[in-house]
Amino acid sequence: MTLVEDRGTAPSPALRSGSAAPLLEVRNLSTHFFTDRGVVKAVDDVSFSVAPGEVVAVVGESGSGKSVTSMSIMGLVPNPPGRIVGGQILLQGRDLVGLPRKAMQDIRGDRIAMIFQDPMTSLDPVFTVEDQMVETLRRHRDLSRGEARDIALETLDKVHVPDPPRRLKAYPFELSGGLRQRVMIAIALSCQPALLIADEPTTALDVTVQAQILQLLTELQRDNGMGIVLITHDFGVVAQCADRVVVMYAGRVMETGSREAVLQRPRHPYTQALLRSRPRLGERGRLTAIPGIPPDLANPLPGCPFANRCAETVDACWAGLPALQSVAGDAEPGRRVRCIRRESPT
Amino acid sequence: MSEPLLEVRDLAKRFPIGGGFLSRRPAAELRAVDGVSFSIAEGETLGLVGESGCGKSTTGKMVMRLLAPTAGRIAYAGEDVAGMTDDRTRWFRQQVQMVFQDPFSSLNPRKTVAEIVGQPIALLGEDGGDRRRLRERVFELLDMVGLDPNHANRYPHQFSGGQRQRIGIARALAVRPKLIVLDEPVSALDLSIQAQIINLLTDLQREFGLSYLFISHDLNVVEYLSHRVAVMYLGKIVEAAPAEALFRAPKHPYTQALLSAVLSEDGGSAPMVLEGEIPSPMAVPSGCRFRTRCPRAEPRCAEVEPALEPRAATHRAACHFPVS
Amino acid sequence: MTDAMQDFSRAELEAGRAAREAWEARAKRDARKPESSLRLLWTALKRDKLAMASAVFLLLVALATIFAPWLAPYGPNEANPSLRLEPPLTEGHLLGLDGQGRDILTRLLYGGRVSLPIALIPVAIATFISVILGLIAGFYRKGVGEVIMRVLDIFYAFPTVMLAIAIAGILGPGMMNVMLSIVIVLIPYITRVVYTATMVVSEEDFVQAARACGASDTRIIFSEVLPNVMSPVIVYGTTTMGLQVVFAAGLSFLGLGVQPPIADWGIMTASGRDVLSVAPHVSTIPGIVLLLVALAFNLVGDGLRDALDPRLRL
Repeated sequence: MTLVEDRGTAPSPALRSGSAAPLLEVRNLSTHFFTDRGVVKAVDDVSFSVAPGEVVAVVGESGSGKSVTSMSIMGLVPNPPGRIVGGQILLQGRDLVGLPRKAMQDIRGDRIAMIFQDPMTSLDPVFTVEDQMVETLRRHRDLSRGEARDIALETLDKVHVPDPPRRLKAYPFELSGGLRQRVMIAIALSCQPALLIADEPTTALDVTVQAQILQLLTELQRDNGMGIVLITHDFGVVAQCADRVVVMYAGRVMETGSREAVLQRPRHPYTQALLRSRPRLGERGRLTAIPGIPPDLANPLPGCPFANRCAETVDACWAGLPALQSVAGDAEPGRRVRCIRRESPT
Repeated sequence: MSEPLLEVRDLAKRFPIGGGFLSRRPAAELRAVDGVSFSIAEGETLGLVGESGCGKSTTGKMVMRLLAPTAGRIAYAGEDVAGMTDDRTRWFRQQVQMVFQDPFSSLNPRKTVAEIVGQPIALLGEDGGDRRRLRERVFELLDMVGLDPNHANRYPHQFSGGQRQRIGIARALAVRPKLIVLDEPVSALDLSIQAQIINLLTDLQREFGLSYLFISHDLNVVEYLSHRVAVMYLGKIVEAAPAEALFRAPKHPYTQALLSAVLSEDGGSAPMVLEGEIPSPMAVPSGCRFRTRCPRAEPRCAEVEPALEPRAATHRAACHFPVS
Repeated sequence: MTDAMQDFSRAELEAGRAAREAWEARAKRDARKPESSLRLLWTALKRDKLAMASAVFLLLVALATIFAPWLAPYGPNEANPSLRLEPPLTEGHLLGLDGQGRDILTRLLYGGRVSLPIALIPVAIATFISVILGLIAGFYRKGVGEVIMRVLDIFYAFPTVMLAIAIAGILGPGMMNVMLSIVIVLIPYITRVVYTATMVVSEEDFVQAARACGASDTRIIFSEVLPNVMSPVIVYGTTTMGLQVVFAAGLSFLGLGVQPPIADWGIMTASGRDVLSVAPHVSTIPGIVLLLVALAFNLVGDGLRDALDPRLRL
């Protein structure tokens, strides 16, 4: 399975299979944007971790901070107006926050790779697939053009791109949407990253192609023991391939737990309402919608960010931000909910 | 059964591709819509489902008369729209309105909400000249779609995606149409907002007896709103049936694959993954256009194009080997 | 809900209620502001200190030239031969005197009454014509649009400066001819800006929405498209104004512009050429004024562009 010999910081095989030491640990991350209208706390005190070989889904709607979280991990927060104002992002124990630009560039594309919703944003339209793959490989590995080309071919084959030698010569616009997504995944995987960040990888794709790509991602993750942070708004995608789930709302983590726990036993009123509001096949009639709109981040709610839309809200919800804590009757480790209506009686 | 409100027969749209400044001869032809027939009764919702490039949006644009068909006939209330005089066209535009997919692109950023919602009335309404009545009607419309009429003087950028879609719906309702073409009205919205908009559309239909042509790629949403569903693939309808029947027992393998690809949050069974991708509408396969990806394809599928034939009383599918 | 109702202390409930009321009041207040894009533009522009300073500078220059007859200490052609070529800060002559003993400050103020309009009026006229051409070309891309753009492409084939000099040379010197040549030179450039913006805006759904309501093409072009293509045009127009001020002065410098005794900044610069080594101020002061004005227009243009850029807003 090795495409390129791992060197240096690669995780040991033991680490890959085990769940002991986390691959990625995000600790109290806060990323704020300083705008005309005031400070927008896009990501506020967010913590989660990803073990090798684990898929952690960060779920939320627009403005929840899920994409800013992924940009923060990649060191791609546009500055100004944005800045990481606190917290740590530990990749295999090494803090990425505050790393010099050069060091971050070496890590990006090598140890951490990212795939986007729109493949065209990361593929350069004026270069062929070969140029882009070889360039990425040679940037991070000491390879000749020929060696890099071989690896590129092998990787394209791995992501089931039909007829790799022909696709290698193609320009991005000559490829269909699904193929572009596969090529982007191939580029992301070519250096065998320890961590893959997939930001809405299937949102722009048709349903039949979406199924193919999700299957591919799960397969690659299983084979390579790579950790994946899956940024998505779609619970269907979560159900398909996530191990653990982090639910975000208005820049905060609202609920965390295993896929089964969050999808089947959601405890936060937001998660519950969101799952209820989703139209499902085989059901008709009236949907239970969440009233109102997500809060304006420049005028944050004083207490729980969901208080103004929550069906169970009481005045105390507005008094202060509830803590993210374990819930009564759920012994699962890492299971946390941020709601004062769900606190275990002390 | 009474006469349908909208009747579409063998509608086709072909785009010439290539050909430069001097050469007027097109290099190729893109068959966006390739002979589509359907009808919508009063108060009914027809869901038009398909993946990108299947021609569903082009069909919607032709129904809206934003695009001239290459072939085929569209009749509204029994009247051929192609033969309408200017006066009748004005009436048609008042009868048929549209809600767009992108809540950002569909509202002019330089206009206030009152100007946007009032535009159809100013152009098509009888009392377009009366400013005071126009304003009252705008307030009424905003209230109807769940927006605060006090916000009538605000600009689109001051609203969220869901609110903007409500503005788009208010605009479509302004001249009291009977048929609304909904082109992916919720697919750009967040999950918690989608449900609000779907409920709003259901309520409005019940209140005003509206008919909808609901264009979407999202089967979950289509099922909620539609009475009947037509599935499109590469410019053709491959299956059409009452919603309940189509979702319970699809006859066409493509519909079956689409349904199985819908991911349910309880994990469920593994989706039936189709091979490959949709062929280019510039090179439509011979015979059955789905055969290149169809798990049931046989040699005959490449030779004879299957017709959209009844498989049950109201259930039609275009397939030589339908799913039983 | 299986969760037991928790008990909350009275203090908690009261603090919550107060916080909630404060938040709702603020949300209501924010919601009431009707923010036109013009107001947003102003807010963004106000932050750009350099652009604001430049705008103020230009305003002062414009006012000073308009009120030159009242502000200038001397007449524009009033000469004091005994003080010929005296340097700046000579008693009574802040910026010194030129070769014929005329006060340079006075002549700068009067020169601006030629130098500014000779550049700004053609920019305005060219913008007006280009907006109409660009809208038509961008809206009807096939046919009329193609013809307009191909014809304008011919002008692109010539270097701008050469073209303007050629036009001014053929037409002969004079203020009107300078303006005409600037108009002709600018039209292809501004039209392309409008054309590109129009193509983008015409694809937007709100144009389709207007069409679905039976709006005529003319109505769509002027009421839907035009307001949305003005931003890039205003930015381009402002930025190019500085260049055109220098350009018009350049034509005068070469003798193709206004003719003496009317003086613009270009002629003033030219008139000091022969005495550059003994009295450098005669040429350099009008040159510096030209430079500052051109720079100020550029900075205002840059500021407008940044302020109009939606990516910088949240």
